[in-house]
Amino acid sequence: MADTTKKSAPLRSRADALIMLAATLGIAIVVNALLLGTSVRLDLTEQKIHTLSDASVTAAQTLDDVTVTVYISKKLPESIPQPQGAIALKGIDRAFRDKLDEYATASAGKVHLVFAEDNSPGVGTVEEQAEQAKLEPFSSSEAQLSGNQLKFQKYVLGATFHYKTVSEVYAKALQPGFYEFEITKILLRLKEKYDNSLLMKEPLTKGKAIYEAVKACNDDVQKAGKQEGAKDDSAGLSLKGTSDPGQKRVESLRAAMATLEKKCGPVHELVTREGAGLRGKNQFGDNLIESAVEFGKAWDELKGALAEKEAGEKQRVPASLATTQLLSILDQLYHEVDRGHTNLADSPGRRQIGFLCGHDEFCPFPEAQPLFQPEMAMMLGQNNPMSKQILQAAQQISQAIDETNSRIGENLFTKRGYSIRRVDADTPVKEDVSALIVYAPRKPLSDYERYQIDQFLLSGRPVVMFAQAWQVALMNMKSPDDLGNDVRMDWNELKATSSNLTELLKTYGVELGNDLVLDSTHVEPIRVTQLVNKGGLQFQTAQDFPYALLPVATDFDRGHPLTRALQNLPLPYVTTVQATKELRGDKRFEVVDVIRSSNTSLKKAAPIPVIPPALKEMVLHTPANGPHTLALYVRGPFTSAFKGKEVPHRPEKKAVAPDPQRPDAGPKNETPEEYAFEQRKFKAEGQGKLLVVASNLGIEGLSRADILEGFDISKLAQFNAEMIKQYQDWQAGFQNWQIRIGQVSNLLGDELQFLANVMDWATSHEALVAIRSKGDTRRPLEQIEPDRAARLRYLTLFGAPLLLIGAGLLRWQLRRRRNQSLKV
Amino acid sequence: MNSIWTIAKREMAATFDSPIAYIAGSVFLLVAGLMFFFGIAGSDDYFKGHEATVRPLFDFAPWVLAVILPAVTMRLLAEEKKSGTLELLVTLPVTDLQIVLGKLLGATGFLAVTLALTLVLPIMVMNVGHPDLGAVAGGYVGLLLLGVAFLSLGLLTSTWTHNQIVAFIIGLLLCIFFWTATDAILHLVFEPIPPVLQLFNFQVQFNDFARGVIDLRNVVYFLSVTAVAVVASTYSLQSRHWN
Repeated sequence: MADTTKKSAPLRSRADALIMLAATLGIAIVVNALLLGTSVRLDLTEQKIHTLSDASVTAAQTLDDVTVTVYISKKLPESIPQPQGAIALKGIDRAFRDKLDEYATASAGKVHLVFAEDNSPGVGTVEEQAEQAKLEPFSSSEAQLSGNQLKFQKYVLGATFHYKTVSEVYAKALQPGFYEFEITKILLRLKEKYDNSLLMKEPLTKGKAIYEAVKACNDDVQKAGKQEGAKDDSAGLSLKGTSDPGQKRVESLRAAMATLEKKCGPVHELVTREGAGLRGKNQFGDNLIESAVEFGKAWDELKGALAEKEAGEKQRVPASLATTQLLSILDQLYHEVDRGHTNLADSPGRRQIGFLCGHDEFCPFPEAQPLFQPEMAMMLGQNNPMSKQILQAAQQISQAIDETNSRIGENLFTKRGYSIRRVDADTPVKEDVSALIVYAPRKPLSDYERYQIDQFLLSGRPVVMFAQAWQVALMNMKSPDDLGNDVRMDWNELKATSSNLTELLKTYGVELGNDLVLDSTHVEPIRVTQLVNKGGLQFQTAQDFPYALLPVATDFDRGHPLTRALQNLPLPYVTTVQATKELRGDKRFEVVDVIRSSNTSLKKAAPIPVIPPALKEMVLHTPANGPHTLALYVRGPFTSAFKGKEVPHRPEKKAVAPDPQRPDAGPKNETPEEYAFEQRKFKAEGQGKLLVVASNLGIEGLSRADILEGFDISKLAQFNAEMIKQYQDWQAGFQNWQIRIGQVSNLLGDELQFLANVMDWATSHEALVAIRSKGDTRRPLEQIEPDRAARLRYLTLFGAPLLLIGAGLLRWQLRRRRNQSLKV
Repeated sequence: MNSIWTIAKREMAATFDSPIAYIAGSVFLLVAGLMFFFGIAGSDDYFKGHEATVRPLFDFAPWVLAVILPAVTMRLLAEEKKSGTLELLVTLPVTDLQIVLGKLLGATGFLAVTLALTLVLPIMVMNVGHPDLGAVAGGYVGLLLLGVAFLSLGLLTSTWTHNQIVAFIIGLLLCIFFWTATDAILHLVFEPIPPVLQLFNFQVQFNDFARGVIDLRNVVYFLSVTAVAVVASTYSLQSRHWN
């Protein structure tokens, strides 16, 4: 009570008050500054997404001594543009620092942080240092005018991790939700990489030697090519009076030829010598050798081009032009060698994931064979110019398909650190493939191919099958019909694929349904683009429709690492999958319904309307019969689907003369792996892991065979009008693939996360699966009717203010009555 | 403590007796709700965002609070000064610090009631999805701490003048400055801004709360700002003795 009865003496002067205020302010600043180095936090999120998981702590403590060099631009932009929308960066540097601090603290002194300082003597800016460390910079939308050019400011936010002789790079740390996943992945990877690099010491050393030789040569050649005013007295050449920069370049290179020959001459010999010990041991090593050989050839060409004039030969192409082109080619080839070396250095311990190709499935690789031989095209072109044009167009489409698939493979997998390999199951699956993904084939697999998958499964390595029983075409393009009508933009169709995965899976006790699963409530929208005519103008509009064929699964098995932390997952055009009673009853097997649809889902056989309003109407009038299993995991002693049957034979390879370049080929000209596989004993039973997801996750395969359906070069010899129609079909087919991917593009983020989880699970990185799922914080809203949305919106919007005003009026009334009673 | 509580109760009653509480509260709820559902430009639609989250509330509410709270605090001491009731108040057996704390606590009561009324938004979202309730709780803790910091700044400006409008305008500028303008101004002087000076930015401190993380540094920061503003208000109130 003392404080209410005794008044403290007020400060009598302004000076006293100012001193006291400054002291308070000083204490506040000191306390806050002292706390800057601490990290005491309470993570309230349901999945503790901002707290390191046990797997991350273990990963940080396992490594002896890791140095993390952190690169953060001194001033980051507020946001940066991205295709999926701007990313806000406010406070992101602090979040990144904090996360790294957490790891350093959790590692008990084993992880050390070093922050790159700006403009440290001799090392340049943080951005320059980062680029040297192979961190990819990014830019904001703000540009500055430099001379007559617009220049975008470069920023970096990332780190390099060094452990003993190996290192890893975290280039663009722009998603705080995934910091933990990325850093833990790197720490786990460092350990694997180092352990395996000891086993791969020789190929790595040889690869490095080749890379360094090529780099030294290219550096000097490019440098000499830029020294346009250089002189070489020994050659007795003077550049005075030469004004053509190309010619100056030639003269400069000629002047430096003796030095260049010393650096570049040994490249050939080195590639032959070191390449012999590297070839065939690692696919990235092979790529490196191929690029280095090409580099050597390009150097020879450059040497030849520079020597032509001196030899007095008649030049077909001016030396300056040829030199410029060859310099550019050399530089490109050097970058390929660099990439090959980086991949080789990265490859130790990296587990290969095989993607089955050749059945119109999702196969992120270019085709193994060209569409046709160039000689054939020349012959056809001489006979018929129209055929030549059609051929060129087909070639363009084929190239576009290959480029798209390569880009998908590069961006979705290789850049994210996965090592993927194309598997053509008409040849044996390589031993170093640690998991096989069969991604929604739409064409039947041959007996031999199924045999390959069967034996792979029985070898104990995981097999993941994504199924696509149906193909949905909504507002697709259709080429003109025979009546001469224009290209249609409203072609809708629900078509069964001719996949025969069902038969194979049945032998393992897994039944893949043929019905589609729809949902009335838990659905994602489909984006439909339409051409609209208005006022004589035609323009495109995009509209989202809740689409029952894009159900969102909400029921997950929490015991399975794949779905432990998953909240929801849209599964486009999904069917059902279930285990037979026999399989479920067999105690030797572990059978898990990994993903199930919601209670409001329903299973329905075709025909099903695909147009959104008609589909919605149908779903509203069909009673729900969910939940249904949409993904199933089975582990146990599988029996071969070919037990008791004749083992299918590998398709005969064309009889060719023995290849002198390949003395290790088998009697039928097989590769050593193929021969070894042929000699391998048939396995009738074996422990296996099988995951079946009854959807293609909206990622539809883009295959040449599907798009260029009916392409036959022999038929093109006799040109007819039918070929024009066929060409239009091909074009429409390619555009339809783009349309279909675009329609579900809003789901692709979730789908790719799930696919990455599957790949981590399949390569035994289960700890990463749960950590990645933590980062995926998306929680979709249920699809609700516009009326209900409006009711909820206005009730919420006006409810609370009206309640407050109502309370005020009530209080005012009560006061008035009280005042009146007081007056009385 | 009793004195503080008594003043706080009196202040809260006075706030809710005055129409300004209802006007400010309703405007806050309405504007925050509109921004929540339609975005800052009015062209978005929450239900088309496909995300069961309350995050838009935590993105927009601080802006609205920066405008509304100075309107609530402007009368706390300026009105008392103008009407002469401050002299009556200081004759009571209470210290200036207790007066300031009592006033601040009373205004905090108003803030708490207003924030409580925004709970209809998470409740609505729970009706159509599964928001992360931990993150929602974190966001509300952040809004409360941020709001108290705004109130203390508003209270400080209220001690400087007899005129409520002047108190409101200065309070508003101060709140907006701390919320958003600090970065731009500090960049004029420092390049890069030293970490200690980055403390001045309310947005950076608030971001963690909105993500569902309660960081001791952020809590201490908002409490420090409040403490400094309270001490400054106390001395500002005492300045009447200096003349």
